[in-house]
Amino acid sequence: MSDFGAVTENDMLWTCCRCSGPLEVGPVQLSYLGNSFWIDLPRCPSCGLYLIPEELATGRMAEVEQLLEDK
Amino acid sequence: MSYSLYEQAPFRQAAGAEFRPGGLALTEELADECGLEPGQRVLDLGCGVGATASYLAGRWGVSAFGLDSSARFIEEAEAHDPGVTWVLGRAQEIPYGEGFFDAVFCECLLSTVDDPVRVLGEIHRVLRADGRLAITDLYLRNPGRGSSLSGLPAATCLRGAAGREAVVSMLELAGFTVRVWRDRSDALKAFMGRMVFAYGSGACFWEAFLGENEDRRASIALARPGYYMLVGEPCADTRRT
Amino acid sequence: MLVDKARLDDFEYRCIQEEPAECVAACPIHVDARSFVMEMARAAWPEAWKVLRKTMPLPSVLGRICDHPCELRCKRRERGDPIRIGSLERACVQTPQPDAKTLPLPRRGKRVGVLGSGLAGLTAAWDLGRKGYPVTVFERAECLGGLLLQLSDDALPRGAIDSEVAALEKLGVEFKLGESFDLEKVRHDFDAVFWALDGGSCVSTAGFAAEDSPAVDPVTLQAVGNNVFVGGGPSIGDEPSPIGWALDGRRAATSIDRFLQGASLSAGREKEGPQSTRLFVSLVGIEPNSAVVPADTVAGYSLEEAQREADRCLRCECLECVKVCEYLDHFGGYPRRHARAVYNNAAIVQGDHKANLLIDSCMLCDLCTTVCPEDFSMPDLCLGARREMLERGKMPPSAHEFVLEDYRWSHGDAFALARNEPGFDRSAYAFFPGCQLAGSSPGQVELAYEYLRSGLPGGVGLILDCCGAPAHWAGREEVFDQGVADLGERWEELGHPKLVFACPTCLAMLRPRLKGAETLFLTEVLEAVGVAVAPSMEGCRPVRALHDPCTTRHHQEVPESVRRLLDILGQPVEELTLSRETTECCGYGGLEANANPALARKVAARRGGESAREFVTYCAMCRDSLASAGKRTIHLLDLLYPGEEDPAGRVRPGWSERRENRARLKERLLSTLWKEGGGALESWQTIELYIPTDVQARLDARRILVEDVKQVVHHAEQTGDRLCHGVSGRFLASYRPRTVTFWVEYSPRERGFEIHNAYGHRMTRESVS
Repeated sequence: MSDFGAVTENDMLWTCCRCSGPLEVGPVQLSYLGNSFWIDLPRCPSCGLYLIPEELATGRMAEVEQLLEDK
Repeated sequence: MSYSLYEQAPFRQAAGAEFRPGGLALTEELADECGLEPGQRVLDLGCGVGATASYLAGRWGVSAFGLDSSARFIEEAEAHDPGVTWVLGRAQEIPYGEGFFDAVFCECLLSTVDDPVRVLGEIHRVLRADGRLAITDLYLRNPGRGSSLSGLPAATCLRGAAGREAVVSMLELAGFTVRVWRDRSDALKAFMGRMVFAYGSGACFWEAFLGENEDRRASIALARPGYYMLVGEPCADTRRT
Repeated sequence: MLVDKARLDDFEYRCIQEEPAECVAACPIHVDARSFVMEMARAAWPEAWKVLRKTMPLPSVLGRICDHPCELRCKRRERGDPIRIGSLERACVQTPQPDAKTLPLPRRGKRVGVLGSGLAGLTAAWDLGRKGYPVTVFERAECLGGLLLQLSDDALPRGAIDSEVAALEKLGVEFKLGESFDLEKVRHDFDAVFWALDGGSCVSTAGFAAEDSPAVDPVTLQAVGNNVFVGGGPSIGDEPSPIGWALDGRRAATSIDRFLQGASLSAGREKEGPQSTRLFVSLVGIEPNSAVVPADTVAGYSLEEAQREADRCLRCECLECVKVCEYLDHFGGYPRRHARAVYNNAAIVQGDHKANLLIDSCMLCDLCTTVCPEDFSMPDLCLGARREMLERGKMPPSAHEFVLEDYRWSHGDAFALARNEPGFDRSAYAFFPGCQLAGSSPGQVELAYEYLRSGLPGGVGLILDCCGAPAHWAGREEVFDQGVADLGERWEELGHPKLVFACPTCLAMLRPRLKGAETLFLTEVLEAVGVAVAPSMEGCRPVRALHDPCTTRHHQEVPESVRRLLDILGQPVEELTLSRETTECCGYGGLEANANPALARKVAARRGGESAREFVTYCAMCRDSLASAGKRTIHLLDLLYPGEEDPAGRVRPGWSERRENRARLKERLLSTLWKEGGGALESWQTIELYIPTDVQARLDARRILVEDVKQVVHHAEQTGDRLCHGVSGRFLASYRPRTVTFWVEYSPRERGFEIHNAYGHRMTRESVS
């Protein structure tokens, strides 16, 4: 895991229901207001379903969203 | 080897091969404004692991040179792109003769040195009479509030950051005319976004950047850091000695 | 230039906080007496010295002998004795003077001669020397000082004069003693001359015949058409006035400086000399007290006595608005500064975060405008800024989005309704309860409507809708105007009924905008038709503090009607200090609760803290805001339709509950009164959810609606796009109904689903590599 603790071991306990396999961490491109970021997230290797963990969403992501909103 | 932000693992991973806001897209803009032509000799001052110099050589066909004071970086650059001339040295003493270069690139460098005017003097010396100086860097959009920033640790990209007027004055003092000034603070925002993702929060990033001084961090916000790109050329008849 | 300078100038003019205190304005040379006295009160003698030294010429001298006209205008004299500023200055200049930085001056070519070494002459030399002019002072006597030498040693020790003369010499001022001078020669030898009369007339001091006295311009002190300037003569009323002499010396120095540079002598001289001031200082709560009397009347104040005297100072400033507003107090500063910050491209053009917050946190309640002596309006500033930011695309999307969506929902089919009373084809009256009462106490809406139908003739229709206040407060005028136009149409369709409002905000929004409509507040009808308190509340009418909602401010007939009604209902009332026209907002106004929840809570808590008693109010939003801050509060309608055991302790219904209440209210009324069936439900709406209380609270705090959670679960179950937890077996899925992506953690139950957690974000996926 190379993304500085954004994804925890707990997050890796989630599995894809449809494909019933474990998730693998890989880059996902997220964007807001015209700015994109590659973030390493747990994803299903078969169908691409990915997870944005709560801590990431309410922490770093929220901070970046606000940063981008402010001019 | 001196410790600096640029050598920290989280920073490098977040910033990618380009250590600067705006990345190569901004370099492209700069190169475009300079009107680079194939075969021209172009120096990247503070080249790091060489993204800009390699890019300029590949995309614009120039004869690219990269200068950096970090042996580790020069080693890496050499390994990645042996086609560029890599030089271990200091911007305060550029080991080339008068008028040697057609263009000098200074991306996020001037604000990290203690003596930007001296560096500019060196650039003026090694630049040909109608050459181009291309700069991108941090600046303060509310400079009046940035007074406590001068106590920052060296080698972080905010130390010499000043307001626009101060930057332009410094260039004129060093014998340059500013041809293009463009605010690119949007690039800084995106860069800061990556830093937040990498470090966990803006506060963590600034702490890594500036050390633990709360006041410095507070005054950064007040001074409203921004990012600019600039192209200058040596003044016609004022060659500084 | 994008800034409307005229508008900014008007804002800046109105806020008088920066106007000088009386003492400063009264001082002919505008010594900052207020700051001086404040430093003396802190026993900060060096700092006090520095304040004097900034403005005062020859401070060791003038500080001892100034005739202090400031004391005549000191505001304290309206509550006891004025501050003995003169005596405080004496005490200060007797302490050691802190070192001053002497900057090397660029020398100027022109030479100035000063005739007479009294205070006027020395002051001119002081000022001109500081500006770099070579000055020569002529004095016929053997000693310097003129009239100053006539003062006793107690009043003015020779040493004080000497030290200031030494300071002048350091500036390069030359002194020529014991020589008589020839004005014509001096005029010729110097580029400009100040003829310093030293309190007397021309004849006695300058040795000239009366008929030679030239015509002197009173503002510039120029002897007309000449390089001679004349001043320092007898002062007002022929009383010797050292500060008057100093003013003349300063005036002359200014004139000479301009004269020698070829600049206009008379332009911009209005601020010289004593001025009036627009500063307002409230004396409410100030007890009169007397000046400290020094133990040694000859020596004057000891430092301890001086500090005690200085402590009596009122520290004059206005801040009337800040005193009554938690929002202004929280952001610090005062309105003039905020106007500059907003206009200084900090916010409107650049969208700076801090300025955004200032602009979005104003409750738009007009209390500041009401208490300001000059009617400065923060609502004007902030609402104007919100609109401008929207126009320029600088408003952050998340600022008011949630509330605007709520408004659109209430204004749409799920809640909006306009009907004539069953059995009538037009309405003489129409009840407009508003969206918050419907969201918080739908039962009371039904009962009140029933009451109105039985009490008023001609058919009482019903309009369920939101008046649009959220759109107006968010600065979205087009949305607001469209909504009002829609309501106008409903009103016409019902036959132009008299509108009966249950919410003061609806009334304040719509009364001025629905032209031709007669509008009443519910309590006015209750008064007229007659009403009694509910039996279960008869034993529950302790004195309650009455909170007037801020939107009644410009509609005072509503608070009056409420008071009469509470009297009829036997509910005794405690009047809060800030009530009626000066009532405070509960924290919801201007969408503050949305933009700055923490501050809104502080506002509500502050209001609640203004009385130990329970509160009673007549706006559903106020009731819920105060309740959220922990204050037991009833709505006036709780006295008529209590609905439960303890209305004052009722918890504020959250966002989701409010939606449900409104939707069900419409369904219920349509089916029971107008016999219209409910519309078909979408499949996701039929999902049953079980949400534990703590999870409900989290959803509410995060502004995640239950209907959004249903849509996520529905999407997950339909598509199979969901994650499963290896240990707990719970599901986790996401869905983006509008602009926010919601993630929901849930488990299936026998019927429906249990919700464990939910969170949201705005960032969206671009692509997956």
